[in-house]
Amino acid sequence: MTRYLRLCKVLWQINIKAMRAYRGHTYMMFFTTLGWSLIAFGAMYFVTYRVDKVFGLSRAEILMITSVYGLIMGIMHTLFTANFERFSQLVNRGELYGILIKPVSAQFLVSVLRIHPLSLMRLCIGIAFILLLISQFSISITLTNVMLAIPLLFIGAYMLYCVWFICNMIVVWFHTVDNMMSFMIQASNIGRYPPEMLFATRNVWAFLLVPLTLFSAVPARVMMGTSTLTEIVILCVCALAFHAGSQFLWKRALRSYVSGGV
Amino acid sequence: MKHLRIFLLCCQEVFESRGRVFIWLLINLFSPVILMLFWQGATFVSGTSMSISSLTSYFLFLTVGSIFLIAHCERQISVVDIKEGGLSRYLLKPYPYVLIIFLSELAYRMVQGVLGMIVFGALYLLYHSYFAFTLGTEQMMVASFIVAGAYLMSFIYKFIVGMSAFWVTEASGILQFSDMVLFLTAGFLGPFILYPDWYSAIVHMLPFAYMLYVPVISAQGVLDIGELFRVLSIQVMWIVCLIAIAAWMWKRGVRRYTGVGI
Repeated sequence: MTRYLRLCKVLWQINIKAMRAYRGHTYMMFFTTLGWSLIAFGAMYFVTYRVDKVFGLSRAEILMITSVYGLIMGIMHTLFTANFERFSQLVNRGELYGILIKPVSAQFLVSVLRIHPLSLMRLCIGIAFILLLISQFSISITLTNVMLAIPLLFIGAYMLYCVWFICNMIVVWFHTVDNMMSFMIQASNIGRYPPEMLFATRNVWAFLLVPLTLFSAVPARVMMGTSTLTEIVILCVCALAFHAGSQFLWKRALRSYVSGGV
Repeated sequence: MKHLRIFLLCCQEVFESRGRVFIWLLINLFSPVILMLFWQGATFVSGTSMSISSLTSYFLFLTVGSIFLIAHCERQISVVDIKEGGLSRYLLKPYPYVLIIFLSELAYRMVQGVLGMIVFGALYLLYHSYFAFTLGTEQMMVASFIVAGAYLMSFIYKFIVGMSAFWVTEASGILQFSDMVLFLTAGFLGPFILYPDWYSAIVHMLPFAYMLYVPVISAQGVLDIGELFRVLSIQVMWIVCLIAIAAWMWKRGVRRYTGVGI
């Protein structure tokens, strides 16, 4: 464990040095990350501007889900997005081989080799937006609820990581698909909306997407004190199931990996 | 004949990476479909003149529009051709680089557009009661010119964004910034009628609304013939401006290009 923490520290240092190397790019990324994080909240603010209720949920509840979604995406973009975006290149060019021979967990290295520290800004903006919502809509939040929501937020983030990991494994079998991460980011956007939206469709295909709405909706509801125990249990079960799925697929994918680059 | 041959070669390339094309189609479909589902559960505050059927048809047209109209050539230009030095081989050929990129992009848009039309047809057949659009023959004629103009605008804009790599080696920050601007101002979030008036006024002063939002509402039959001609004239003005900027950038950019590649 200490070894992995030391490794994380080194990786952070390397990535911060890389940021310094391309200063112009870093400044632009700063504004872009700031912009996207404001958009994540601002877009929903505009979308619900003339809306009274959505699926029986008030505007404040919808905006709270969006804020928690922003927090989780902050974690995801800081630690994992850049790595998963690079995964298809690793497989396609046969570079995954270089990671597999290193004396640390290959899954760990594949997932956190590239870190994007600027995305931590999303976390800060998410917290600021939650505080703004609490004061604007007079939402009553207790410390107990917040303490309960924090571990669920990490469980939600871990579940999303497993879903992204599973989907990225497809690249091992279908080499030309280099845009899987763009798809996963797009699909994860559904986390901004309440799960009721999918239940209302009464469509079996839409039900399959429900876990992708739970990762943000459950912590948000726990924070507001409107959640049910069933929702919390479903989130935990989904996280465990996706964890098992990701482990299984990773092993299968490694067996199929040929290390031949193009 | 020469152009047609090159176009057919580009089409061949598109079919070669059909898995990638399919994922792009899913990416384009996802966001409008989710927003469509969200709007269906919304109850608006009094004074909002928007029905669910017109909203649904807006998102349906937006789905096809975003697949067919929004060019994605900027990454090819900035990363593969300028940053990695791939432009050199095009500069040596007796065929303009811009035309090669245009035909290659057109092939992608046409193949994806056809797939998008199939999805459009399927959704229309399944849920035709949700859709409302009225388009006369005259309107349809002018609207088709608007659609062509929108594609041209989108292509030149993305070409300009891609060329920014002549000045900054790592242009992914600029690319993301451009995506963000398009997302906010091209109508991806929903019809501008649902947003604050000041936001709508600003957006109409920029070229981005004429790349997607205006063609979508033109195809829906929201605009009368006079308004359609006004839109067409604004598009022509923007196309002239964008071509002037692109030509200026290309002339200066090629002088800066080293052809080394990293």
